[in-house]
Amino acid sequence: MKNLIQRMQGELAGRFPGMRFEIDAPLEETAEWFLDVRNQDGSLFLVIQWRPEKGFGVSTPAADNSDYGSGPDEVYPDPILATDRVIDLIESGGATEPPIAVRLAELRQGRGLTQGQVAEKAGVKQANIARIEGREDVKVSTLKKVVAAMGATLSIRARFPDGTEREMEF
Amino acid sequence: MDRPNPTKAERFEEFLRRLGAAPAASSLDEAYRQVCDILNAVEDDLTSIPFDPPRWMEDGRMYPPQADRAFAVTGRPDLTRFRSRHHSTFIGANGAIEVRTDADVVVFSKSGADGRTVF
Repeated sequence: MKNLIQRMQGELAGRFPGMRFEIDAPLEETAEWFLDVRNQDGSLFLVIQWRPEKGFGVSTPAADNSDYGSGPDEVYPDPILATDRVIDLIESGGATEPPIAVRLAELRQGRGLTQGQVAEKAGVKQANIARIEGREDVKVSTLKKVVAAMGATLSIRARFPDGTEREMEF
Repeated sequence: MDRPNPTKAERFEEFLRRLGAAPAASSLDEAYRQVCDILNAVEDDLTSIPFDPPRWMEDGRMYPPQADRAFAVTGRPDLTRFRSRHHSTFIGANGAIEVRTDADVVVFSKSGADGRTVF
């Protein structure tokens, strides 16, 4: 009997015959499984990770080896949501987004700023910035403040399936 | 004042540099421990991100290959492959180590104590 990721492989392969869907099975069945989605030329388009009882991870590759030892960019507890996201990525040719906490830390690092420097500009303690970067969910007002301390402005857009986008204000 | 964390790509390069400079291992267990210890040391030395495995998906720290991410290598019972998102770390029973990308590009290779490489 096929497990969840093997069933996902079958569904995606039927829908996208031009792509390759290769299962990478672990030694232990209860450990983490991988489903590699490859373009026709064999290059990797995205990776789906699945661990029984834990759900699915979806990630497109980073170009510079910067994802060694990293978790998946996006996590879906439900196979239907994960499959829908993979279909969307294949059809749009899009890329996954790492969790917001990672993005904030990497945004700061990319500007060559320390947590202490951002904290000073934001008027908070360095420990607060460390906590914000570690949270799974951040208030928009907090995010605005941290981004402003890096010298940038925050922009939030609502993107609809028909392709229209609207800038949101807070 | 704290200093900026180097990027993950820079830390990965430092990990490979230290791994290459470490003494050759003579067994799978020794090489696996070396990979884990060196990666953890690099992250401790070069970042301010605390070691906190439950937060591995969102904290931006690199974590070593987990023992339950071991995969078999067809036709090579002496090899164990530890899979991550887009890399595989191969470790031989002789302690040899090789890291490859998903495109099968070798980014690191080191012999075991017997002088033999993974492939």
